[in-house]
Amino acid sequence: MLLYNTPLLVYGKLTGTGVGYGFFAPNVKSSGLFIGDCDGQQIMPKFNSFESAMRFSTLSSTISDDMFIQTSANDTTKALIDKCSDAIYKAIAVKMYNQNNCVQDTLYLSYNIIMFPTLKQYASGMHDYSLFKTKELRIIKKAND
Amino acid sequence: MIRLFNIDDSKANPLWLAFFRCSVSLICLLHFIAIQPDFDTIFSQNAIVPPDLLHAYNTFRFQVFPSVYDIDHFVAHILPVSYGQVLLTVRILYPLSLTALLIGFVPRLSALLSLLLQLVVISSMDVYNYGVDVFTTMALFYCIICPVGNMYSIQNYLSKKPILLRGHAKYLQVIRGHICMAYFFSGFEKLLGPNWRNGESIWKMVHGYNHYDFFNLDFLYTTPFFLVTGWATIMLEMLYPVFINISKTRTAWLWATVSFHVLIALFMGLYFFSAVMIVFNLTCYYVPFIKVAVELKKRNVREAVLAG
Repeated sequence: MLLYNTPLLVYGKLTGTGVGYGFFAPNVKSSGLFIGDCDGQQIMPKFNSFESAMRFSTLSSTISDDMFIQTSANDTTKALIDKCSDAIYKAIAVKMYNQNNCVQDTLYLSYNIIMFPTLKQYASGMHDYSLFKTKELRIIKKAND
Repeated sequence: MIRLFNIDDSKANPLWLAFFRCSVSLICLLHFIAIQPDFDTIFSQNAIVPPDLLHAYNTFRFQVFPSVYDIDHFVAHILPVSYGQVLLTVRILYPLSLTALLIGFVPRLSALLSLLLQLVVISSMDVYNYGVDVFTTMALFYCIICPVGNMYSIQNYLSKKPILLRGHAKYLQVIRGHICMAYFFSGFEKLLGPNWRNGESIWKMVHGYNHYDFFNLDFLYTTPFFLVTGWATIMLEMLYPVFINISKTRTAWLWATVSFHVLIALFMGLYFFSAVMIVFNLTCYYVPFIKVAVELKKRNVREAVLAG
């Protein structure tokens, strides 16, 4: 509880000491992809700079992390986080559709973890990536939209 | 032999003050410029994740500093300003304060303003943040604490009296201590992960995060390359506080660490993170050891005379 009191949080944030330094530890997370469907074509969020795309991939993994770290939160908080995450997925879907000028009435969006074979699997001949779908959304446009 | 607690000014070239100030402000500036093509997609009300939604999401994430959204809500009670206007103010003020820090114009104040604005910027995109933002915050904080404006700055140029550089090595020791601690824990946490110890993490990293096909290392899968690289990363980080502070091993450890960050930049695309870490390394363990120039020696003598 001491670590979560406001003066310490402010001090930690202000000095950059309020976080752990275990980057990519204890294990490296798999990266993920948002994939939408636009008139039969696969689409992804568009960014003009590499840095923005990099930041967006952080957003993706943060949201997907929160999907799995809900066991410690109580039920009400869990439900609220779920609602917020859903709203964020929907916002991303809508932005992707607008960026790609899609005209279909139903929007599909999925979040996929990129699974690359481990060293052992690679040595045994498995050389291809696979996508593990963790979340899928379907949004239907209202008639007056 | 161990230099960690050595606080003798005469053994450290004060040039590190100017180097640190200029490099940090320049990297922060370039980092901010790098997201400008997508600024609206990240921050505006039309963003890919709108600010009100991000604000709601952040309530579960112990957010301490206000975001642009929070400032807008606060200011809206007093002044008739829109979210877009508050955002534009931050968008203009942040690079301006960084430029002021770069040239050393009221350095401590501009560092303070830069830090506060940087915190507002990162709070406004909390879920988009990664390692570089923590180290940027840290670097700007040290720009406030340390007398970074006392060399090669507008403040220095305009000052009629020579600005004293005494005690600068103590500040250097604090930064060194912080960096050593960060490296140690970074290595230690990796040691706890089985995949760092069997090479899988490096293998995963060059695949999941590698954006460049011309760095394909797949052909090495039958060799112990990934295993050795994993252990080398752990050892380099965990033993950093020891070997970087021993004069005989300092140079080797420094260049190994700099090379490690260059590889992170190339293989993982973390250019800004690597740049900030290289700046911290050079500031702490390279620039202070550059032979003190004759001009500086003269200056120190003059200061000593002035200080009585």
